Amino acid sequence: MAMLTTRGLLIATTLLGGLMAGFNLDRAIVHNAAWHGLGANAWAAYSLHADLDIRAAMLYPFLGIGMALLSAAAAISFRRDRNEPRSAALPIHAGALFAISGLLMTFFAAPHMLSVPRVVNDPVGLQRALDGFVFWGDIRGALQILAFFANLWSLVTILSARPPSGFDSLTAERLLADRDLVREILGKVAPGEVRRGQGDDCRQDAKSIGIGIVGGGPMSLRHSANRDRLSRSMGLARSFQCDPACARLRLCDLRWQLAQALSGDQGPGKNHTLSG
Amino acid sequence: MAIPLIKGLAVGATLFGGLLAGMAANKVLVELPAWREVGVVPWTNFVRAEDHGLGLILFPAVGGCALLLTIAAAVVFRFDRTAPCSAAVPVYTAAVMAIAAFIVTVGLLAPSRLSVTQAGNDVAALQQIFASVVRWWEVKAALHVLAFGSNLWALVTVLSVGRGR
Repeated sequence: MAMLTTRGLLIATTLLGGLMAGFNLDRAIVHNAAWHGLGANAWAAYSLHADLDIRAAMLYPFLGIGMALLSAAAAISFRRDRNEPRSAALPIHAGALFAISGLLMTFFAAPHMLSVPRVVNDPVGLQRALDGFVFWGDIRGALQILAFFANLWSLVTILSARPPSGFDSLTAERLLADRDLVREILGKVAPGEVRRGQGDDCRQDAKSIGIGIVGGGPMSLRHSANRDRLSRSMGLARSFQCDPACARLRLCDLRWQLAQALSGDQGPGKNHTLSG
Repeated sequence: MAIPLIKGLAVGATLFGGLLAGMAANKVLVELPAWREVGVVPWTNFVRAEDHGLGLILFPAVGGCALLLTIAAAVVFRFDRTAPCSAAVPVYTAAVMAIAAFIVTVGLLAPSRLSVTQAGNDVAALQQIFASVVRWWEVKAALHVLAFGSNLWALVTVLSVGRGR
C-alpha cells in the first residue's frame, strides 16, 4: 500500500512538475527577454491581465503548492516505506527540497508583482518591480525546473528497481526459527506434495530439530543437504516473481514454493515455475 | 538492449514533453486570454520582441526533441518483441498526439504566426490573425498535454513491466 502511495504521489507530482517547469522555462527564457526590450510599462499592462488575473491566481498556486505538497508527501511516504529502493533517496528528497524552496521563493517574487497596481504610474517603481520579479522569479523557476527533473529521476529509479522479494534472508531466518509457524504452514501442504523425494538423511535431520513430520514423512528445513535446496524455496537464494501484498499472500507463496520444491522428481538444480 | 533504449527514449520524451506541455498550457490558459484583453497591437509588439531573443529557437528546440523522442520510442517499441504489450496504448497514443501537434503547428499555426510581420499595423488583419492563433494554440496545447500524459503513462508502464525481466 505504501509503495503504491509513494509511486502514485511521484507520478502526480511529475505531472504537475512538468507543467510548472514549462511555465517557468517559457517565462525565464522568452518573456523576460521580451519585457526587457519592451519596457516596464508594457510588462505592467500585461501583468494586470495575466499574473494578477483570476486565472493565474488560481492556476499558479494550484500547480506550485500542489507540486510542493505532493513532493513532500512522496518523500514522507518513501521514508516510511522500507521496501522502496534506497537509491531513490537522493532524488526524492532533492525533489521535495527544490519544490518547497521554489514555493518559498514566491514570498520574495510575489510582492513585486502585487506592487504593480500601486506603482503603475511610477516608471521607477515599475522598473524596480520588474527587476525584482524577474530576479526572484528566475530563482523560483530554476528550483521548480530542478524539482521536475528530480521527481522524474525518482520515478525512474523507483520503477526501475527490482521489486522486493516476499522474503529477505532475515525474514526467512526468523520464520525458520518459528517452529509453530512452520508446522502450521507445512500442515496445510498436501501430504503427497511434500513427502516425495525425501531421503533417510532428511528424516533424521527432521527428527533432530523436531519438526517437519508432514503426512507421515519428514522434512528438514535447516540441516544437512536439504538446507541449500530448501533455502531456495524459503526465498533465501531466489526472490519471488511477484510482490505479495500481505502476510496471508506471503504464506501462500511460501506454501506454493515448498510444494514446488519438493514435488515429483525435480532436482535441486532446477528452477521451478511459480504461479501467481 | 532494446528495453533500456526504450526506457531512455521514454524518459527523454517525458522530460521534453513535460516542458512543452507546460509552455503550451501557459500560453493558452494565461497568456493569450491576457493579450485578448490588452489588445492585439501590444500582442503584436510582444510577438515581434519574442522573435528577437531565444524565443525563436526555444519552442522549436524543445518541441523537436519531444517529437523525435516520442516517435523514436514508438518505432523502437514497434520492432522490439520483448517490449511489454501493455505499453502499446500509451506509446502509440503519445506518438499520434505528438505528430498531430506537429501538423497543427506547421500547417495551421505557423502560417498565422508568421503573417504577423506582414500584417504591419493593420488592426483588422491583426485581429483575424490573433483569433486564428488562439484557436490553433488551444488545439496544439491540448495535444501537447495529452502527449505528455501518454508519455508519462508509457514510462510508468515500460519501467514497471521491464523491471521484472
